Amino acid sequence: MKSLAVCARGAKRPEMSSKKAIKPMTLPCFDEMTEGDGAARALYSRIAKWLETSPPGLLDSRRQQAEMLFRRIGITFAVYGDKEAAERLIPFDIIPRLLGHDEWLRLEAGLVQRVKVLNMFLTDVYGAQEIIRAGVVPADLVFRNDCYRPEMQGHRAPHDIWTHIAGIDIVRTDDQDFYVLEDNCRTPSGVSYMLENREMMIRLAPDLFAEHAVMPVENYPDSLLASLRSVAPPRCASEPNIVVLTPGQFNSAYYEHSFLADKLGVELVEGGDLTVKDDVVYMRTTEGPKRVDVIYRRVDDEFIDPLVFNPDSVLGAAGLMGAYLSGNVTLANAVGAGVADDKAIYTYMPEITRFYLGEEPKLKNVATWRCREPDALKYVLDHLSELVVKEVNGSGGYGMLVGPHATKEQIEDFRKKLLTAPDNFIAQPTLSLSTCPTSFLGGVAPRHVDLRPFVLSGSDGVRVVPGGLTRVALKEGSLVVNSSQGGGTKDTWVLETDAATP
Amino acid sequence: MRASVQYHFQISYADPVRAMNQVLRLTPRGFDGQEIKDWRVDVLPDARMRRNEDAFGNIVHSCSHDGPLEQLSIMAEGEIETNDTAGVVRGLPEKLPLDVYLRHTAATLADKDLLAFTQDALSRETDPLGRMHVLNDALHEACAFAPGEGETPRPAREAFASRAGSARELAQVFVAAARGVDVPARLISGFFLGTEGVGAAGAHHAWAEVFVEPIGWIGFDPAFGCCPRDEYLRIALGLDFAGAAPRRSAVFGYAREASIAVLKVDVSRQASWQGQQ
Amino acid sequence: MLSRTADNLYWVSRYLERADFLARLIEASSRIAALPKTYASAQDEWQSVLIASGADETFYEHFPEPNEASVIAYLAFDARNPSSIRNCIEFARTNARAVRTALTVEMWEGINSAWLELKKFEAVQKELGRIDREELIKFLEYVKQTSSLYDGSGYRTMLRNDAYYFSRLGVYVERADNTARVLDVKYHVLLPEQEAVGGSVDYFQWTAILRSVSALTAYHWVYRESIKPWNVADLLILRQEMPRSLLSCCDNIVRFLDAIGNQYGRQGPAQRHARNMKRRLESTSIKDIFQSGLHEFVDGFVTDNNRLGTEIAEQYLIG
Repeated sequence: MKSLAVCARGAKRPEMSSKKAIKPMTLPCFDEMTEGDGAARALYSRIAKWLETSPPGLLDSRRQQAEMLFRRIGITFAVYGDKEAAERLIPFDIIPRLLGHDEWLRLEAGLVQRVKVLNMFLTDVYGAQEIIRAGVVPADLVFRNDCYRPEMQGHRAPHDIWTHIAGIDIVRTDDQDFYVLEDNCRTPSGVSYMLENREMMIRLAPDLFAEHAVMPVENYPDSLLASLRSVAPPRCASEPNIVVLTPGQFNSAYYEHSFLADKLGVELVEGGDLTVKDDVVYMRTTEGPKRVDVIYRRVDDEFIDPLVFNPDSVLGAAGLMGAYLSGNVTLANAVGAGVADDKAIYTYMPEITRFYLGEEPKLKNVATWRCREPDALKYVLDHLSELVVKEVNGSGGYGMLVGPHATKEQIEDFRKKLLTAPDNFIAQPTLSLSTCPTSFLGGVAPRHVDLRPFVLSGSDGVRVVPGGLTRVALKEGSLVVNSSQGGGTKDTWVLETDAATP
Repeated sequence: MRASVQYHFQISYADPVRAMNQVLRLTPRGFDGQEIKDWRVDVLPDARMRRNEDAFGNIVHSCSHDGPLEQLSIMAEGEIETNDTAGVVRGLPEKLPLDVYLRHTAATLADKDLLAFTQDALSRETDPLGRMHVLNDALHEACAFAPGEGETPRPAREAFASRAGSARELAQVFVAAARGVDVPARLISGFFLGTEGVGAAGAHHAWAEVFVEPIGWIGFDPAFGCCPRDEYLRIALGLDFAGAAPRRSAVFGYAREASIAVLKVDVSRQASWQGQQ
Repeated sequence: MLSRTADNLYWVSRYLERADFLARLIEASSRIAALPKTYASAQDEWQSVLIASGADETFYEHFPEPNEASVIAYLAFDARNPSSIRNCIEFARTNARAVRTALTVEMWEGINSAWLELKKFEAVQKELGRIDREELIKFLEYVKQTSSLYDGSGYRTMLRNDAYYFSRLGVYVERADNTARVLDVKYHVLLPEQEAVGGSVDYFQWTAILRSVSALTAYHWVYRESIKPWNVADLLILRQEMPRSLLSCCDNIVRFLDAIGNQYGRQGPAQRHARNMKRRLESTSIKDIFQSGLHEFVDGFVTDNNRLGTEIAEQYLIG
């Protein structure tokens, strides 16, 4: 049995290349298929039977089939700086990951609450700043944050929605609790894999799929479209013109961008396709300029407008911010939303939730010590060998310490860094993450997983399609679920029946 | 000092431009140190000028041009009156929390060298305001002022490493140094109305402001080694020069600005003005 | 539709059509080159292939002289030649990938599998260190299949709207250019006075021309007589029923430009220019052409066709 400490990435990046290093330990951990005694949980009874009765070689051949199909459709992701294998496949695991209906309802309620709070936080930070004045979140954590955009201060996002599409990374340690590992409020990717994995399962394991009452995810694009439509600028009278803005085909998530545009039935545009004239955004078409109302942008803040941000960027459009600030176009997600998903802010999410809603958070945070607080710092210094210590805003390059894996020297080194600038660090315990049965050449064994559900916010409410992207660390003992580090994906089945139903 | 200010900026393009967008920060705001009696900004060829206030409190004009555009003129002119406040800036609406001015930007990130220089310089002084004067003097002495305000400024660490720079470069060095020792700082772009100290009277100028308790914001000019006087017309502020730049533009296509033909500020001291120094 | 999308669709077609033409050109020339010296001069043959493919300018930067090995290597697999078959397929895929959403699944899968195949061919060639004739034949065959597959799946699966029209437009603008280039390089063997002098040598040149535009069988169906140079010129320039003739290409260009104009409710310079090109072809005869100079005629056509390309770009593709 393996367990893991999850060490979230250093400098936070919105794409799937985000790095999650994880370390094996010897604590027992929760396997989502089996009970403590090794028998299958009721939820997984059919999967267990399927695995038992499948002829040898079947899983292998299915996996190969899946790979061939993925490659032909072109579902690849680009790896930066790797010219030889510039387009790779994310390995797909044929054994689905299951969640009972009751489990899902708990998770869903937590996600809805979480994303509501994230949006309220952003509205407040860029508006009245009450949470700062109340002393709940320190001012410097917000205003000195790399992802805070002073240019947005005083601006109200339409309908007070800042993170229209959020990806909340979830891990489990037992059959009760879900922990948020990380919030992604900027341009979370992976939803195309959630959808394609489902198509693949229906194709490759039709019987198994039919035996389970799996709640559909295929309506995700419709929900996304509805959310985007709901936040169109008020002066946009008729049907809004919605586009997906991509950095281009060399971006690692380009497949997803084109996939989404296709499923939404909207144009996939690049910066060069957009022009701004007198604060109105147009796209260049064969019939002349056509007005754009909503941009689902997969381009980072710093690159969307050379007149305001990075002056050398050609990924956005000059004047886009002017159009945005004057309310002529809606950007999803909003500019500056990233400040809410920073690691330092993450640690305050329970307090933030209580502040805005007056209720307890439904999803737990992984316990975190903020080294800026003297008591916490003392504890961390006393327990360095057991903890994972991470840098908060990842700009100084100090990296992180994985206590149980570090040499005495490394620990002493880190102690010095910690003492020099305690504000820059947080510490977390090593968590024992859950595992799911996973197939690989010649066998099936438990592998560590996480889950990224996608939460949509529109003026008409918050939507979550039942499921998400399950990422799995394919190497034995590894906790690296990151796609560029050999992680794979699974289809996530949310059943219409509860977990305890046989 | 009471003055009539005329600013004229002209650009020509080697190949006609198909379309252009630009933002202009060329409108000064009044505060205790300056009163703006009349001011306007205009472009030629004509375009719809949109006037907005940005998050920093700057007045920003933006406009779009359709091509083909071979030449562009920008005019800013008005009547102003300035007072010497020894650099202290009061009476401006402050829109952003102080912490914002401690942010590091790529252009204002102090490297080890600059930090060491700063700490060394400051070791002699404990009074917060005195420290900033010491820093300004030290930078003024260490770095040669090389007028040349047409270029995109180098980042602070590069300019400092060469121990020389334009006004905007030296101002960025000052800002980087101040933030490096946790003093809120910002970059100011404006006009220098005087005749002393620069080659030509009336030019783009840039300096820094830092926040020192209990005084508030106070300006420092490392290029001239002084605090802004009544010869300074303060126009815009930003975290670095790019944020306070008088003009930012982008053209459609590959056309580059071939030449910046005229860059001048005319200050005509009217017969009626009364010096208040 | 987005100007960039139209531009990409148009160029995917152009690149695949060019790859197809290059494959046929190499095949036809290999046959001539394989003939005994008394039938044809091999040296000139490879030089004219370079000219017809438009690669003659850059070729000499990399090779001292044209021969079978160097020309085929340069035209088929060389990444330094912007118009090599390899690059055509690579660029076609890059363009296609950028407009995934505008292509049907069949079209994309066709072009993507072709690209994967290309990688395999390249690996084989790299391993051998030279071009093996058998491998070459397989490769050229596969190139022709790729363009047919793309064409065919487009024909069968695409909605008949502007996306389809721009895609077809690319095919015909490129095809017209290719046919004209072959004529331009080989015009001297088609001139009447050459017939008396050349005799059998030119016979093989004529069949090679026909082969390079896959018209050898068509010739016999159309003319029902032995191969005569003026008939070859007639077939390639003025025969409406011959799919690679200049007139047929112009006819299609006009048709698809009109379709675009109708969909958008607006005609423009590209439409007018194309109609003029077509009208000129319709109102001339092969006799007139020979009288006023075949070379001059073909030259004029290439210039006209290039201008059409620019007009299409200005009107629709730049935006």
